[in-house]
Amino acid sequence: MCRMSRAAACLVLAAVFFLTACAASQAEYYVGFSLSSLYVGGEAVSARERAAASSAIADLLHEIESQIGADREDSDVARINAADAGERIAVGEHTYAILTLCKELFEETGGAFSPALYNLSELWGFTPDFEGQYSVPRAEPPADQIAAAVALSDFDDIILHEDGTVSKRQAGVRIDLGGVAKGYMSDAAAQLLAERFGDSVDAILSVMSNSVLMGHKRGSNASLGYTATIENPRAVVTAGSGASQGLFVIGLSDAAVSTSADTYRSYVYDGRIYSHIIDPATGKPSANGVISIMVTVPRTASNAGARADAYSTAGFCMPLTDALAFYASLAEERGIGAVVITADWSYYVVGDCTALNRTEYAALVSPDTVIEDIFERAEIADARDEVVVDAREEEYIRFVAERSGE
Amino acid sequence: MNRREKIARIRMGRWFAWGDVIVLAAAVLLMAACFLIAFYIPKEEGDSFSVYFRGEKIFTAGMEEDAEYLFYIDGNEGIVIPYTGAVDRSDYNLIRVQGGSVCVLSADCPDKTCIYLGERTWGEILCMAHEMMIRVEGGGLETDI
Repeated sequence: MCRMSRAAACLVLAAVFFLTACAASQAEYYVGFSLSSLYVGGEAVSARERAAASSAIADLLHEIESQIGADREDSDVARINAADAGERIAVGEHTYAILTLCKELFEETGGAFSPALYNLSELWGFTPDFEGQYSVPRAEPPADQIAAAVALSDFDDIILHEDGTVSKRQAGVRIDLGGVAKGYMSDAAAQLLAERFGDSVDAILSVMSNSVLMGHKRGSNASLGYTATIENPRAVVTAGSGASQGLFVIGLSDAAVSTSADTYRSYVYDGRIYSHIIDPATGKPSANGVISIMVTVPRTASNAGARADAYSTAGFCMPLTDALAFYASLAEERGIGAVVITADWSYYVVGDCTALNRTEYAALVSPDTVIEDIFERAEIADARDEVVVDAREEEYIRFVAERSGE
Repeated sequence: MNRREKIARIRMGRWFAWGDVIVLAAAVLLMAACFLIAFYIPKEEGDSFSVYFRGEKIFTAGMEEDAEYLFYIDGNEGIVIPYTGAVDRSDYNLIRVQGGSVCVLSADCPDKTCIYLGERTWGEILCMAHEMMIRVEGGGLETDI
């Protein structure tokens, strides 16, 4: 009998072991946040310390989110949006810091990046109220409604006061910090790690599609530097393994990386893609022939993550040649790099950035891999504002239209 | 040993000895462990999936975007099309990609094993009746982000 109960005990212990192993791997953190590598002074940090750092970052991101979430009734942003003209709204440090940074980015991008587009986003059906319906095909709103929303979408109508309060010139203007928030969050997380572990941190931090690569690559393939995949925005019509990988950027160190694409929150109507990135100049979804942009910003620049986030959006809201020239000037001033993929399935590389095509990267890291290029490298000098849509792009648009039942 | 003693001994031996029970328990435990390792210990998550019909790959798509597809058998051919909201075929499996995982939502096969396998971010979903397999594929070339 004793042996029997021992066997039973073994069985129970084994079950407990398996169950706890599963539970441990499912620790929950802030949605979309990850700390996937952490070295201090060249040594990998223990799992316990890493978990503690992750939970401290999660708390910080929650705090930031509670101030800036437009869909939270009591957030600073919600209170600013509900305020009357001239009413002074006291805001938290993060909201104020982000708005200050937005003012700078608004100037720097010539207005192409603006956080005051909430009215337009709502008109086009891309605000959180429409969650689950972003991809539903729908006709363009009437021109007079677009014009009315444009009139209430000027970031110059938002005034920051030195006492830490914010006011508006027009009551109807509403803001949404989504275009820079995740970049700001990645910066804040990186700063927390630097404060906790000192200057010799090598880490990979990601908040959704915004990453901060701290220090240098450690571990395998360290000589390549940090490597990044630029997601293939046309993966659904691309065959083969690794279809989601469009291009690769290698040799990264101490940099923030952000990617914007027309696949996330978008719909197809009447043979055209309408993305959530609204051009402040036209009041309509961007239509400059760009389908994806990755920007890398060296961490020597202040708020590198937030900058990368805003810069990668701004390139959708200017003619292609202007966008490439804009990135070239930023490359000179701040050492940024940019990869711009267009609807003719070409890509342009600007500034300090080693972008490799799929076959080139495969040859470097895994020569046996059978892989084909998807996008073709083009020279900046050959770029034209009128992007001729590739036949495969038309197939993609048809595919999305069929999928959404248009 | 007389006949009676012999019968008593044989009668005793009809049931398992404790040693046998332990060996059997160990075997069951080992099987359970193998089963758990094969089906429940997560492997690296894939980012695309392929549909195989009679061992031949007929379709591949990414899993980063939510989508629904309809697999069906047309004569001797397996076909995958984007799901349009209508199941107007026989011998079908409705495949859903959601939040980076893939599952079979409905099917007209008799056993429905493919549906019970649930949402997968790695591994395989098999539909024996339709000779169809969905295989989640690894993330292609490795990078840091």
